[in-house]
Amino acid sequence: MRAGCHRPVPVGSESEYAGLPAPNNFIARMKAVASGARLPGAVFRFLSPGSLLIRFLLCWMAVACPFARAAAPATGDGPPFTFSDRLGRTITLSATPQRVVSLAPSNTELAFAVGAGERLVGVTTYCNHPAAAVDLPKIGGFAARTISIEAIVALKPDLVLAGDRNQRAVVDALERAGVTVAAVQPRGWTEIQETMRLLGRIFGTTETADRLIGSANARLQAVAARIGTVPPAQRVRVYWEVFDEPLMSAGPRSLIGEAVTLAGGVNIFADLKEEYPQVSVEAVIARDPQVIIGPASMRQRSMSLEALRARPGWALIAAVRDGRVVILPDEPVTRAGPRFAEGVELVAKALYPALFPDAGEETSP
Amino acid sequence: MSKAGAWTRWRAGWLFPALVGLLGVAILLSLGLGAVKVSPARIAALLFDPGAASGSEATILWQLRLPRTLLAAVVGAALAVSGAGFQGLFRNPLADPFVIGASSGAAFGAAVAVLLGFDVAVRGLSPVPVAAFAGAIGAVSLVYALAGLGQTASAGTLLLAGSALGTMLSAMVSFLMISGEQPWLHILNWMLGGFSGRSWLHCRIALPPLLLAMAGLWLLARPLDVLVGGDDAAQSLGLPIRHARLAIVAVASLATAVSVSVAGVIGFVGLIAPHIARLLLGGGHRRLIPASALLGAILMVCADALARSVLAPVEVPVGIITALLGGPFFLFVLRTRGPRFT
Repeated sequence: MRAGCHRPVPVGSESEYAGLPAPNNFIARMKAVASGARLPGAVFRFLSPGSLLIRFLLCWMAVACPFARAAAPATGDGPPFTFSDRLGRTITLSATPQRVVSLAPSNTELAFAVGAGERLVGVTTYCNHPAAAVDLPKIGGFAARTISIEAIVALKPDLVLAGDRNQRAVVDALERAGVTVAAVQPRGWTEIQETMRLLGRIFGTTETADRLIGSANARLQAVAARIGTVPPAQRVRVYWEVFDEPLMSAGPRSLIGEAVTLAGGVNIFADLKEEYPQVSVEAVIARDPQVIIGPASMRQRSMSLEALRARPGWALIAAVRDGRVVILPDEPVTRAGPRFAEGVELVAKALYPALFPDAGEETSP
Repeated sequence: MSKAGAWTRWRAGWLFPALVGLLGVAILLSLGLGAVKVSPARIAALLFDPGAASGSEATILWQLRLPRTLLAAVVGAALAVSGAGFQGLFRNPLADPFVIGASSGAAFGAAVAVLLGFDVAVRGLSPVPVAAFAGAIGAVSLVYALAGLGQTASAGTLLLAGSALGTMLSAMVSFLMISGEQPWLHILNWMLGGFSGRSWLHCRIALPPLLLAMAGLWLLARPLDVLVGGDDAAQSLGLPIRHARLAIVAVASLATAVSVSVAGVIGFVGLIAPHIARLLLGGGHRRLIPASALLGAILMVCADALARSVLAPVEVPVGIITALLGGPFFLFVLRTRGPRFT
């Protein structure tokens, strides 16, 4: 399996674009199986060899590789220093980087948050937050296949902050081109804090990073304190719809799953191992969620109370019956960045409006 | 019409009731299996006793599984019949319902609709299937026109034109998916096919044309038989080849286009069901077509039931199941019975 990690292919990958959260291993795997299993069928023909499905297979191999060590906590203060990134690579920085390129929206947000925003010279087309990131030069999309190595090299960066394993091919290519790359994109809240600390150290803004982490944890504790007053039996059952076709939810191992748990919700798909499982309609109806949450980017598609009511069988679900369908802004919850605590607050407000009266009204669909 | 004919007739005598029975069992199984299991007795109660029909079990059965199972059965049958038609028309055992570009045309139509933002469901029906249908019909018509079928062209030209246009359209779909990263998941999901979320509305829209197309192809059984013998033989028998071909292509493509637009591209059923039917009953299309329909329906209903239940509550795209289920079975049949395509 390790070998798959080093395949120099343009790993076009899962959900690595704005609306959707990170890799969906299951679907990738299934697509890979499908590509191998259909012999003379239509899909084989119209997705020519070497095109998408094949790429999914390779991508899955990349995803299946054991996740490398977390970025090691650095000791000492500021460069020169050595650390290991999320792909297990060892990186030595001799001086504080002055020209930085970010290959993920979450990296961009984190860099700005620790006070290194003015050192960014290139970002992805999906880096839309904070506002200052929007006008920076673009090096391509978030998906590895849309990132331009040439554009990055032309910016003469002294550090590239890469995304996750799906960008492995880009990382390798940049390394060959002599560019210093560190894969720092976090996945859960623990990793977000690690990355903040690491970036603080890299840019010599350790104090800012520590302050950020402190205030975010304080906000999370404040939420936990209010949620603590709700007895376990009265916790709200939540269905989070990541996507409608295919019907896709978020498992407990995803950032969304983590946010739901921290906000005191009971994820109806807490038993699933996949981060973003494709679920069956029947299961949603049978598990009868009391609140349905969808990201704002889905609003244009089908996330509204009346749209849900029109889906066959959905009118029976408690959340639809009681009109508790909530649209939340995507990024604070789906993007592993500095706004995570804000995202957890939003979810908590959606689940327990009575506990958060100061928080303004529940966003109604 | 010697001993072999009598043998086939005798076999057809018990085979058709057996297939119908099997389809019944498959449907019952499909109604019972899924994220929520329902026993056969309970199914009967829910179906026939209106008093029992409330609660989530009844909703799941009536609003989800029944329309979905029905649609799977008819789409499976239609793809199988269309596959039988194309295999006969092209005298090619590798032909399937998508052989002259219907699937790539549909995928192109769907991709364009999604990218233009026309993917919001209105009253439970999304414009994507409509675009897919238009794409499929458009692609097939274009292939037919390009092949200049009326003039000199043989079935082989049609096949080649279909394959060329199909490749072009797939390249365009890939290009569209890469240039706009956002909606690829929706498009890809649609291309993989499935019956998740299909409602009575889809049944009402798709079943009439599918049943009509199947009946139409059955009526063309005789011309198909003649065409399998070769163009010269057909000509000497006085068959208006050009009209017969056009009719077969039109009807089979209608079945394919409606199937693809309502359930996405589901491979394998349309390829193997006719082969199994041919192995069981011989090549005569009068029996081959209804037998293919029954086999296609059985296969698709079973595949959809498994798609819902193997990893429940996770759902697997049905095309994966049809290939995993149908592939080995088909190879086994081939191995034990030998190729008998005539």
